[in-house]
Amino acid sequence: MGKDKKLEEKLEEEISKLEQKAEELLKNRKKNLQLLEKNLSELEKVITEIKNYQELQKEFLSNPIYRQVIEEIKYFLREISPVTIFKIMAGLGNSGQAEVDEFGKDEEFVEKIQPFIDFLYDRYWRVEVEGVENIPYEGPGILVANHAGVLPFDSFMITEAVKRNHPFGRMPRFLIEEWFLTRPFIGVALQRYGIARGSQDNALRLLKKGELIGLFPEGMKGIFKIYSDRYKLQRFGRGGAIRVAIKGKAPIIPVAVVGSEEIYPVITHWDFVARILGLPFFPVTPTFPFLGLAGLIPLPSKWIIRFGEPIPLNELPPETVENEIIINTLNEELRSTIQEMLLDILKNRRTIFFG
Amino acid sequence: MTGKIAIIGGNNFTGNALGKRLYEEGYDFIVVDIERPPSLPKEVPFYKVDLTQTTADAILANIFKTEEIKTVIHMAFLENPTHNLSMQHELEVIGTLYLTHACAEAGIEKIIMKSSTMVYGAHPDNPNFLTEEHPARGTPSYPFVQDMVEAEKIMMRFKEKHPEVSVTILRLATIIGPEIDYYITRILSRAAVPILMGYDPLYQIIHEEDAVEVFLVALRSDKEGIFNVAGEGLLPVTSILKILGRVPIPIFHPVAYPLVDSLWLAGISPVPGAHLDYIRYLWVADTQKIKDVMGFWGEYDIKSTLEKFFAGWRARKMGFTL
Repeated sequence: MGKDKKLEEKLEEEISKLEQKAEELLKNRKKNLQLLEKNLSELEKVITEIKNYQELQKEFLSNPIYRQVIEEIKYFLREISPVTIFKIMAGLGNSGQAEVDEFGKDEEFVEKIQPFIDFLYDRYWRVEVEGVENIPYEGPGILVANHAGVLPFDSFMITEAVKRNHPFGRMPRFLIEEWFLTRPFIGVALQRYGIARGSQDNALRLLKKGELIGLFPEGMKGIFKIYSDRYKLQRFGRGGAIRVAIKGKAPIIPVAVVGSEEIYPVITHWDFVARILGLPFFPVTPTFPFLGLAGLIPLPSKWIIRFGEPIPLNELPPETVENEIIINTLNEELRSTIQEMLLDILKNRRTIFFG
Repeated sequence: MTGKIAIIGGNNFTGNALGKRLYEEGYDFIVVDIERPPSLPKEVPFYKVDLTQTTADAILANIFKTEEIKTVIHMAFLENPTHNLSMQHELEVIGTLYLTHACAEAGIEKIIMKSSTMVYGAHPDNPNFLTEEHPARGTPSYPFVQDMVEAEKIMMRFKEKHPEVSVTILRLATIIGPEIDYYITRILSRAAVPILMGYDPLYQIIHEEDAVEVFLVALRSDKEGIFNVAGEGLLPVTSILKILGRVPIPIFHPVAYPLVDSLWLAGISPVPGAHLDYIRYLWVADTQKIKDVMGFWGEYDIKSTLEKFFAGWRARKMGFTL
């Protein structure tokens, strides 16, 4: 009897060990399967990316657009000397009597770079504007737009669109990522053009003076967007735009920009290069960095800027700022409004380069 | 109202000018320093105390008691960056510590301390307008600023321990004017001034007369706290140089820091490389608080200050003494 019991115990032990092994094996198999699935989905992503990109490529090559790009660059070099651009960027071009405001905007500088802006606006991206009547004639206002295109070209184009089409020629002032504003040359140029650092303090200060300001709630996430994510709005920060609107008693004017998201078709990010160079990200496009600095020439997509109906957040009581749920709901509503505007424009657009 | 006043460190530009103003206004005051200010009227008592001395606290307390001092104006800080870092630390940090001990001992009712907006430090992530609530981060690699930050901390710790004492810290922007002679005005008197290529931050200055006047305003005021003090208006560094007719020499920033550092070690540059941060990044202070609380509006804005400085510089160059 004693022997049998011992044998039974041994057998049970063996069986439980085997069961454990079998379970581990099953687990491992599951893990492997999951990994495989992950890899497959990533592969699929890459494949769709390439397919997406192939469409762009077809469109780019089917019409003689590359020739047009070369033409435009020739025109640019002929009409606007790169030396003047460098001088302006280096801050050596100011006349000495520069009147700057408290954020460093210099009206003379704005005039000076006008030819460059005109070139991009009229010839390169052929900007089309809709719904300017939605921008208030006077008093504070907040333009909220989708953000894309690696470099903040969109802020320049929206500014120009308002300046040209508004009956009083108002010039909105965009608040963007402070990273750009602390870079040499470009930071100085952006500041002199009237672009300031994105912070609630700055926004409220400008609104108090009755200025029209522009915000990109997507922030860096918008600039990060890869090509297949184009026109998919990212999370709108933590509701800063809404808070600013309520505190600053200003209406929000949703702005949809189509075209800006195709100027640099970002395929992927090289984080290891970004880390070495100390950049927040390093985009890889079909041309950059493979063609060097020439790869930085944006594609000549057709831009459409639409201003939507104002959202009268200025009528909300100031205590609303404390209610995070309401803020987040309003933020989401704003995001979906702009998303719908974008989809609406995209529905009627046939080609990337000719609208 | 203010009782008898003691100016600690009266033999520098602001101390001298403040002594003159207090005498004009008929205040009862004494001056403490290691050397008697040359322009100080003979009737004003002068005490020679070295704050770096280890017995400075007892000596000061004694003076305060015998003279029945009620208000202390603390401006015993170096005007220029120095190579003698241990002396600077002993004077500014330990000196402030000794002074607070003496103030506690002698039952001083009011302290006004001179500081600089440099204590905020020039950082890329500074907001456009630094309010008094913003932490004084300084520049860790620049002892000239760090010692000032330390001194402020000691003063604030004193305020925590002795809440009944009224403590005012005046953070002054870069002082410029026709008479003041220190490293900033010396740099601005040169024909060519190095700047950093591609950087052109907005700069804030205050006229020397306003920088002295604000101490009188703080003396009369019953309010206390930390205040930024600066003249109206902002200008980019290159515009300031152009108004003064100076030629900016842009230097590529990775080169500029070691270059200026080696020139500093050689005794040619008046500032170490760390000072370049202050012409690279923004460090503009918000002056709304002193306007609202003390009602102080400077008389000169940035352009008139620069004009006055330029006129003074030209007169000196032609051989006039002001």
